[in-house]
Amino acid sequence: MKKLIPYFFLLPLLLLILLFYIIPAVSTIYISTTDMGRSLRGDLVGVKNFARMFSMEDPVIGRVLINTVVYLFGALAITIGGGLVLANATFSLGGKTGGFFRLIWFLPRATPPVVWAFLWIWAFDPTKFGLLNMIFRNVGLAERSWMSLYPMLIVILANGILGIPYTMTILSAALGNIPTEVVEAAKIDGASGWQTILKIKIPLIWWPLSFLTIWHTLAYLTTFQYILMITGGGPFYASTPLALYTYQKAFQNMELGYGSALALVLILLSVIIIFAFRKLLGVQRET
Amino acid sequence: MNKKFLGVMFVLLLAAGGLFAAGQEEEAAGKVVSLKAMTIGPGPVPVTRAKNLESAAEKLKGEGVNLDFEVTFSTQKFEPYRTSFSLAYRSGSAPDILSEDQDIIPEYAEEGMILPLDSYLNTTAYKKDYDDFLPGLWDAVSWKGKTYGIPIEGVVNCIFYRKDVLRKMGMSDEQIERTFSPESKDFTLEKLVELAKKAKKAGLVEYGFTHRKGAGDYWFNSVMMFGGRFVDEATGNMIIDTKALRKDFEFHKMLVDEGLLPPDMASWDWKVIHKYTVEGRTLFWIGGHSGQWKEYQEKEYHEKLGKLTEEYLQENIGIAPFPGVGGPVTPVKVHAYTIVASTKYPDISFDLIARASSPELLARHAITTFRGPTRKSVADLPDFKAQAYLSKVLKIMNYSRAFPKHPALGVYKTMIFEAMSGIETGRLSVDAAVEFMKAKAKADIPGVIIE
Amino acid sequence: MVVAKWNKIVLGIILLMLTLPLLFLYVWLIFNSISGKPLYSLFPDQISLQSWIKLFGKLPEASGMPASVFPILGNTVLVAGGVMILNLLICGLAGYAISRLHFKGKEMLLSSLLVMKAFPLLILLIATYFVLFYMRLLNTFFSVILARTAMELVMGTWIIKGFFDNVPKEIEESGIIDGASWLTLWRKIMIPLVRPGLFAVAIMAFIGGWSDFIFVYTFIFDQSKWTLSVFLYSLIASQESVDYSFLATVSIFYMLPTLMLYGLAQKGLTRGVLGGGIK
Repeated sequence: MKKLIPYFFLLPLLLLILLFYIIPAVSTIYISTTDMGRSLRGDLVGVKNFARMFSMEDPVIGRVLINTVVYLFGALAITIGGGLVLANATFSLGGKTGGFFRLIWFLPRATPPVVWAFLWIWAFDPTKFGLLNMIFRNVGLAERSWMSLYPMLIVILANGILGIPYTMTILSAALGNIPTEVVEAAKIDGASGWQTILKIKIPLIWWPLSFLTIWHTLAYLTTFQYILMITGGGPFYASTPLALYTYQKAFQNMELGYGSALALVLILLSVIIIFAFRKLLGVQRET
Repeated sequence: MNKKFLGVMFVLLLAAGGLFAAGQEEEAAGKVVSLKAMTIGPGPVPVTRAKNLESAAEKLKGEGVNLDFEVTFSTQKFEPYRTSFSLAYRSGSAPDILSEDQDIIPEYAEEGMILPLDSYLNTTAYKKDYDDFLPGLWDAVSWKGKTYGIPIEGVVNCIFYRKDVLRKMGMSDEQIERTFSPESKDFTLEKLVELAKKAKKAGLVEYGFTHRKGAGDYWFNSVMMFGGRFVDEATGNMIIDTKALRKDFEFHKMLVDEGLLPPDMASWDWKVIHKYTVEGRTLFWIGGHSGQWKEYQEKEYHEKLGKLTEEYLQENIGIAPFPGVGGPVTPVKVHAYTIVASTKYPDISFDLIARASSPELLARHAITTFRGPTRKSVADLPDFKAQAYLSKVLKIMNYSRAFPKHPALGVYKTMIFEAMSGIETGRLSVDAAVEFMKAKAKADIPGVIIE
Repeated sequence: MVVAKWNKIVLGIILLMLTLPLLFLYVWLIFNSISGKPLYSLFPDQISLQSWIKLFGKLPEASGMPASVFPILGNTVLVAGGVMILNLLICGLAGYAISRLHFKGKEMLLSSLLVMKAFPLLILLIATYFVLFYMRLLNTFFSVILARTAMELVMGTWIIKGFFDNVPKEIEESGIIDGASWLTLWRKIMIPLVRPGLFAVAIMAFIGGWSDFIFVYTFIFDQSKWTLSVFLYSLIASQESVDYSFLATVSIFYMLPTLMLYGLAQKGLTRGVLGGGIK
């Protein structure tokens, strides 16, 4: 009886893991081999869905894959680069000023997703009530239709900036852990500000930096809700990465079978990344 | 062993079990006939789709049927409505009666989710009613030779034009009337473009044309305008009519190049689109249907005037069919009552929807929504005659062209919209757009024929 | 030293330039909400609570929109509260077992949790929809509560486990000697010791449920079961005339509780997030 006690404690956890991780993962494989539609009934069609994807029979899949890469690297650059710059700057400023900036840059994290999306929709609204158009008008420039001109840039910015608070917080903490003597010694040796950052600080925070990169790679590969809300992936697939395409195929066209085949690719990619970097993701266990 | 702990776990398991079992209670099979119906707007305007069913249920009760009737009216969009119906059907809790647009009928019919009504419609008792419906409407609600619904409304797609702008261009009321009369020789697409250019040049409007955003029926209208075909009569397969599509694409590209159509319509806000129409910032609003006349009276799209009056609309806005290659085209989309295959009472369900589509109730529906009536005798009712606008709607319904029928129509509509948004924003050439249509249709629509 | 000071000032200015657009986004959100009508110039030409009155009164009639904001607020609280309670229970139980008890398969569970922590649950959305259908849970609050809990619980369990790890063994042993049962030990002695951890988990879970969009958007079809997130999104995507002043007001109304909770729990959260992610 005593041996069973731990499992009673674990039961609810295991139940939810079973229902929301294991069964769905297995079901995805099953659904991807059917032509399931709106009524959640489907006939087995074998590898047809995969053939459709890999043979590039689907004329937009190529574009979608390119978008995925552009979006991933764009958003990563902003999240990691922005986080690094802000962490360094606020750390160097220190005290209340640094804290103030960090507080403001924490706002996106505390903003619910729909509000965050709304801020961007409103900022780039093509009508005269859009924020950017308002500014443009006030300085005498012409109003523009931002959403159809730069859809990809807008969604990269919206997602990339959203990652900054997290990277900034973690990197600041990591910078705080660097012994001051190391930096001082470098300065005495005549290293400039940039050199200390590049040669001393970055190697010392290499570990959290790589962790954050993997973490956000997984996130940007698979999240789509901000793009769904801000541009809807358009115009003409200009801002549709694979994750959004999967969602749209499944829940807007109700092609759950094909959607699952697309999702399976993302699942496999994620699992590969996770296993390849399991050590890195599990830093906490080592410490 | 610890009792409390076991108690907690037991409650947890019970809760989990409760979740699984949270189905629906079985209907008590008594003498009371209980019927459920699901109806949809979308939007609050066409609530008479539900009210007419309620009135019909009262009538049936008066005839001695022990009826327990319940109807829901959804003001949401079609997508969640269709999903919740499909899933309710799959889990055995579907309603008995469903109101739907004609475009879903092929899909539901193929899945066997709705009943063919021919055995009821072809009786002598119903003959008189059957013949009273406008020609072509029964065909709109049928699939593979069987009829699946009773048409209760025709969404009449049409062009709205600004009379005030045309007057400022020096046209008299009489001239305007003549130009936009479907019988007139002058009523061609070229003429509309010419007028739009003139109005734009004179600085009277910001744009000549505006159309809707998103994947809507307008994309069929414009293909129809160029004589496009959608479905192969012989095989029932979908057709991609590349000739008509190319003309359609070229037309929109020309409009954008000439500055007559905004290049970013796809990202416009709906309220702005309507604002442009009601404030006369565009000469032609070509993405709408007759029912918007009602919307302009009920919602504050006009920045200064707010809700518009019937008089203002009559004075400043007119409606016309689309000019097509072989004469005017008025694409009409039918909304119908259908009977769900899982119903226990198909006979009573039919009695109910037959009564809910009486001329009197349909007239009430047309008057409150400004959408097209489906029966000839509606036009003779005094209440209907009193509405000047509705007789105009009826007039352009003389040029009705039924919407195409195919389960993959939604996919096709989305494709045209996507290609068009690519063309209008300059991301796609006409050739590339046609190629895209071909390739995507081949991949997404089984059995498609490329013409 | 003078150079260092100048450096700091330049740095501060650069930082300010980077930060201002973000700050103004939020400032203009407030301006828009208190101007009572859509802001057309950079500063409101009037101060009016019109939009706030609109929000708490009868909502403007529009297609598919509810008549009042209060039922939606109720739904949102229900979902967020449900996620919070379920999460606390699950993480409190499991975190304790993983930290303190010995059982077969512990190593496997630990490494699976590690993998799951990084696994983006959203890519299983299609299959989750399918599973929820078979559980007859689609279009119920349970669907969102359970799915969101599943999303939050890995991190939560990890955090609570960390807190339990820091509780000295002696305290527990003294409990055992006193003859307390396992459950009493857990509930009366252990749980109070990890209160800060539970607090952080509760707040994270509540915020998670409160701000969820995609699950509600995908699993719920009835407007009567909307939460604030889907309500706001529907207003944005709506066909009717909704003004930016009103949208800004709804946004602020929706965002305030999360901001306050973040403020309230900032320390615990940072510790939790950092502890859960990396040290």
